[in-house]
Amino acid sequence: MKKQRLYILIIMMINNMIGNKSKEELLKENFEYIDKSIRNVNNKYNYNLTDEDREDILQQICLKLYETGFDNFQWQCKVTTYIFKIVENEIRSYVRKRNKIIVSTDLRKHDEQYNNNITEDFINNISYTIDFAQQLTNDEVAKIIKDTVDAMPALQQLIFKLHFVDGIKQEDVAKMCKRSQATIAEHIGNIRKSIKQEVEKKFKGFIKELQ
Amino acid sequence: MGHLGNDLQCSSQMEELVLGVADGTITDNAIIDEVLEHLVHCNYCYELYKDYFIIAQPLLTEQHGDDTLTLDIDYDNGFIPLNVNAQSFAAQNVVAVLSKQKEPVIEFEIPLADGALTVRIIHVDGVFDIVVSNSNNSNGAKIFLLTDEKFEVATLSNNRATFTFIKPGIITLIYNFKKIITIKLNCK
Repeated sequence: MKKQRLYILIIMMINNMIGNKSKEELLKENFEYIDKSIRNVNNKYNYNLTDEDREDILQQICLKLYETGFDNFQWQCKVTTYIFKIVENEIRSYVRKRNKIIVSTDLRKHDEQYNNNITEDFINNISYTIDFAQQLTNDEVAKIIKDTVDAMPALQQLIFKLHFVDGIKQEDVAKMCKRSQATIAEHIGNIRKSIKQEVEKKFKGFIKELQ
Repeated sequence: MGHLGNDLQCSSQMEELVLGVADGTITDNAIIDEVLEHLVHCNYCYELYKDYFIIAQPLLTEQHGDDTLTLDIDYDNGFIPLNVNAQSFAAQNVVAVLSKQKEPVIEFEIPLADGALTVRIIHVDGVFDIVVSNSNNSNGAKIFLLTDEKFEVATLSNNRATFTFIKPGIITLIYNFKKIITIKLNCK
């Protein structure tokens, strides 16, 4: 009987402890962080959440973390980082429900949409560095850029997305890519050079066609 | 970029790897490179990774807000208020109204921008009840209570909310997302 009680006690302890801390302790320690994360995600994405929305989301996040979230945590990252992921997911899910948006699972549609964003943003970002690119249409430049970037190593593709598409500063790209700023600067230089060379090649082709 | 990936959520295991690289928990270069490569093709993880640096990391380096108040209280056949560690309230502004030796009740008044918040802790048969009230009309305001054992939400009705059967330990109250009150309640 004693043995059985001890077994039940151990199971209860395992169920309620994450690392050295109980779920309640983790939740309590991070409550303020959760609240601030909700505010900041809301501000960044302009979700226009009301105080009531934020309260609902906060409650859902706390319940989710308490009921299942912490149990699924695998300790591959910090607890706060894991919580942040839950916060983002819950907010998105809440906003989707609120706006009654039907999320499309058509990958092609998503890719096309994303390609368009990249093309437009990138052309705005990079065309000033390639004067003669102005003489080509945006679609032509976009195709050259896309083909060139596709052929680059994964790290350069990531740097391209972060720096040229999302406009993140070199210093921050370095932190994100776990490389020195000098290395990132070199990669950015190489990306520009490669694209410029490709555009020049194509441009010469256009000139010949015209002649 | 030919296969830009998708916006669908990845497996939770992959998400954790992505976040582990982001926050520096994962230091293995092979895994880091694998994750960075994954980011090129997976929009969902790419956005998550980026948001960690843009939103989550700055939050962690922020100082705690000015709205945090910590109270250390001992109970030994009556309440003995000990320390008040308030970042925005002057310690003397937190007034122990009913605190007397051998009394089972202690009451604190915490000034707010629009009135005052009163926290009353009552000892009942080895556990505690906590009653929170606002001097102003604040019906509908929410109060979160977190202890090592429970998480509860109460809404102010008739300007007050009550939590019962609270065991000693660290008790955190969050009033309407504005004030965070941490009570370290020790029983001797």
